[in-house]
Amino acid sequence: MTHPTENGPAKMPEPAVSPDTWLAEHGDCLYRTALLRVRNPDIAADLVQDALLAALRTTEKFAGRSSVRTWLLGILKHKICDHFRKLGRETNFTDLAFFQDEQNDRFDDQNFWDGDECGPRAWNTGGDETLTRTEFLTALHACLGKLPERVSAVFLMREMDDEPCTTICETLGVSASNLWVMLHRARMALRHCLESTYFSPAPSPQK
Amino acid sequence: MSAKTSRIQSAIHRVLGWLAFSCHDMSRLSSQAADTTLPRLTRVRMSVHWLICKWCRRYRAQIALLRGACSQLGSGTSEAGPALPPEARERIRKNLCDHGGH
Repeated sequence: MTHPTENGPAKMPEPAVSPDTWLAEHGDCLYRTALLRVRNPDIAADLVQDALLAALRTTEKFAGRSSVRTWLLGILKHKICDHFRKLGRETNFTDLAFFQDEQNDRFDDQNFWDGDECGPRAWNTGGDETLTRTEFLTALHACLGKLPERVSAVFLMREMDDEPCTTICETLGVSASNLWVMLHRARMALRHCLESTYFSPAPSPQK
Repeated sequence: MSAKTSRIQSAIHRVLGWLAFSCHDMSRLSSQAADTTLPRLTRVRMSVHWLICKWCRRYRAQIALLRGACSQLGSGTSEAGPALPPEARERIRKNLCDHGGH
């Protein structure tokens, strides 16, 4: 909405207050991000709506420092945090099996990687290009989906949002020591999943 | 692997484990190093282990790559994943209109 001011010609507000445009251009991206975090399609759609409504109310605070998408994603991130805070300190007992899996069969009896068959393999990453390749990101989505929900929430808050550990502990109601265990197991499981489903390299050459 | 080779390897592992952690410890410590500053002696011992162990070097590099990849997912540039379902899109559009958007 623009209107002439007494100071001269009307200035376009930054960004243009057009939620229809936001929904058209950024709706899919916001939805995908929310779905990755909360897994439930209805909750994800609600979070997108909440974020867009919040954006409507705060356009005057958008200083044009970043793109519209980055700005909307930032608002969505806060809505996702609020969502997790409301869930409270639930203990999901199905997570315990995941925590017990330290992949012990891949270590020898002195806790070293048990040879080329069991140790991390060389990944043919093809440089930075790998990280943006759709097949890779699809595989990453799939592997993230295999993590227990609570572990995934912790992991993504750390690795995707780069939230400090103290914030994650407070928001999700986990202790610092549990947080480290969850992050460690998530990284271990994710690495193994991507290796076996995507990278699947040839056996490593002799050292 | 011959019995002699595995005895040598076993001895190396015992020394390495005492000096510079087992690989199991290293996987846990590599993860922790991403989130906090570990004590200096711990970091020195980890460096010794990495000098010798290609698998742990790979592990460290690979979890760093995953961090970059997840960060990429959060940047909103990726197209991977499902689109907003049409009925949800319409519901949101209507709610945005009702709240004063145009």
